[in-house]
Amino acid sequence: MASSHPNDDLILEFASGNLESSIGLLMACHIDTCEQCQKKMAAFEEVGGKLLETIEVSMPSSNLFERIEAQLDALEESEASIGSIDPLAALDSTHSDVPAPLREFLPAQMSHIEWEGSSELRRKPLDMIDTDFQIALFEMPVGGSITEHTHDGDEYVVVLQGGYQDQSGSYGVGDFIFSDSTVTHHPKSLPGLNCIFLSVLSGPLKFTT
Amino acid sequence: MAGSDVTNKELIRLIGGIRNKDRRSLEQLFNLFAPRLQAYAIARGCQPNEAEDIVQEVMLAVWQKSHLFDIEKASVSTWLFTLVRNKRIDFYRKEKSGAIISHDLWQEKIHEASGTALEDENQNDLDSKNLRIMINNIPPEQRQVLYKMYFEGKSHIEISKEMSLPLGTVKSRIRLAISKLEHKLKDKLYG
Repeated sequence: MASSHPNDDLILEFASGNLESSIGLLMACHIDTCEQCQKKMAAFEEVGGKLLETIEVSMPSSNLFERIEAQLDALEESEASIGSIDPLAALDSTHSDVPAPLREFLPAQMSHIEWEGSSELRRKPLDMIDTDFQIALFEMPVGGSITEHTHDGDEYVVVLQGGYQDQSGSYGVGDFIFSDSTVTHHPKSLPGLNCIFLSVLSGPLKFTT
Repeated sequence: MAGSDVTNKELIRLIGGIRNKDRRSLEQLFNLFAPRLQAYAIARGCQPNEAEDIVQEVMLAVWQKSHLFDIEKASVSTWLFTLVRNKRIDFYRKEKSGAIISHDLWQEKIHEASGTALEDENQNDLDSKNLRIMINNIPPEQRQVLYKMYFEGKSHIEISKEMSLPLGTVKSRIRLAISKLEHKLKDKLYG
């Protein structure tokens, strides 16, 4: 289970639907595996549900429900002709080792990812438009490390496979790590599997050595 | 609401009907919540026709996934909130990237379980009602900040600019509001 978590402010922002792009995807990857943060998230969502009950209403067109029923008719017809297919079951394939929130962007198996760059630190950018952040997957081989660096902006990381350690601690699958420009670190991968992590950056790394 | 006096228990009964593919149950849920879901999408900056598309998507998800909704873990309004929040994010991302968005990329599964029996949920209903009363009793300035965050999608910084309040004040209002609810939520969630 994850031992390093996002702070409550970030979970609240995520639960209230305010993290649309890269950071939202990264948060989804952490929360997907973290029971502790799922509970906080559920609590903040409960607040959203109650606010929804008290919001001032805005009436949709009077024929909207008819349109919905027409769509249900069409659905039933297509299910009857091709048999019922559960889109969730298709998506949530148990054969995939890729975290559910990333399946839209990656092949079904982590081992099939086509990496870019050197064997020291390989990179797989995600096809996601975000003007504020860069999002990519990285793979650091067992025994590998990233040159000591700090950050020009903020860095958010979630470990997806293996683990790494730096000056502030040791991190494994599911851990969420935030670093800003005050943090200088020299991450080294842990023994076992190659370390794969999802990274979201608001500014470039600044190498210090 | 049109349904502010509708209890979670009654909403659960509608979900039961929807599980049995009863369209009149779906219509009743629609009548209670569509104007709220519509208001949510509009508060988030959607045009009325876009908001209707989102409401339609939410109702369709309710129809298709009612058997996955776990009544013991969340109230019906919370489930609807997570659905409309996620559909709106999908809509936003689709608009931005032109990408095809899969159903349910974003978290919903914490409210889902495999086919929970529809039992009489008096305690759940009472908790849900108490929480609503508590939210109604939060001081207006704290509620306003929560509303801006949850419905208008404003960040702490945007709220502080818009309301001409120091950032610290905005954060403390949010914390105060949440902490008032936390005790109740903790009882419910951490048992």
